[in-house]
Amino acid sequence: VSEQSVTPSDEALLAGMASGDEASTVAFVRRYQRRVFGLAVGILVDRHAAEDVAQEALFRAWRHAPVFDTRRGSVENWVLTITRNLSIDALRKRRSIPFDPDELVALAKASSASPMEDAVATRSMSSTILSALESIPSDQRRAVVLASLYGRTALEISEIESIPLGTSKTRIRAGLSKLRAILESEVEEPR
Amino acid sequence: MTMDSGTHEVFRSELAEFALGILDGRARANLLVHVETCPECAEQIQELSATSDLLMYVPVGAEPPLGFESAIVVGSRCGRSRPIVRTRLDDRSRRVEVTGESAGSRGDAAAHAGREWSYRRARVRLQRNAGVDVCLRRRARCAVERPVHGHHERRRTPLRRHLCVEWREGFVGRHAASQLWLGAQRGTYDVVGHGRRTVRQLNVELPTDRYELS
Repeated sequence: VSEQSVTPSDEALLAGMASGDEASTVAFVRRYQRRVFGLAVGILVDRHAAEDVAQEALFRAWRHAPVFDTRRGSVENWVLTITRNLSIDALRKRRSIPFDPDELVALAKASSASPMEDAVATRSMSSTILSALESIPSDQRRAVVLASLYGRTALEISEIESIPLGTSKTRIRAGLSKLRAILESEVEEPR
Repeated sequence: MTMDSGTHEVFRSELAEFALGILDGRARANLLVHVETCPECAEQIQELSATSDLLMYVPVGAEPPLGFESAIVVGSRCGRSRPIVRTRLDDRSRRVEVTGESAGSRGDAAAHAGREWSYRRARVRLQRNAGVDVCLRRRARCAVERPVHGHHERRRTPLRRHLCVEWREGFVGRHAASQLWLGAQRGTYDVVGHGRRTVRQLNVELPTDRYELS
């Protein structure tokens, strides 16, 4: 029996949710709650705030399930993007200072070393991006993480890091394109 | 198509910020217009966005607190535009079950009539999460079948009641509709939308999200 026939696809769950099937909603929430909550906690640190954000994110996914266009991208990516954006909004609303990007990466590295309940695919994505992040220069890594996970603009990053705006932009650009190059080369490598 | 290479370079330098979602509205709009006519930038955006998306996998998954799932499911069932629940269960928390016997539990009429509703007995014990679905289902059914106060809208009444559950030590004021209403119904209920204050008033150290009235 293939895994596919046992586990409903994301698309099937979304269709189920859209038609008001509660079992689909439960299955959907169970499938994504760990990732969604993990991302929110990673960004916000505060577990209570993260819980609010994660619930709101999954709730929005439920509400927008009928209009989600699967051609636009994966469901997981969509749900995580909602979560990230809501987390960033919450962070801004609370005027919280972003968690130090180096610490975030170190923490993620430490947690990923311990056994996790996450799906194999998720774990491999986490370890891929973490090792790629580790192999780019530290200042670029900080800039990219501040931008992607904390939603900081180039100007804000220049203030946080006490560097000129131009340098901030360069770090963001160089960091992201290096990451892309590393990830591309990994995909091309035979396994 | 003619393209000013200088302009192209400017847009090109903004692609990473665009992919990371940190470009401001105007710059974003201008870039999108440019991308329409520039396949090179369009391709770059796709690739950089894929990399940017992968960064969301940096924080590892984490187990959400108890009550997380049911909050969303109940919210979805009631067709609200927001989750109804803001549970406040920290790491140490367990399900707390409160068993109370009240003057109001004799029936609806008594519950409605009483402006103050005293508790003769309130027992509190810790209990691990069990049978949440059953509780929720029971509550949902009761909520639909037994709207108590006429001046509440039927649609929102059950949820409102659960949202504004207010315990007071010894008695419940007349505005605590949730108490009166629940008091009239035997059964186990999940408390949604309780606050920390609520719990403190009952002298329960941990937040409760489930209680039983018999």
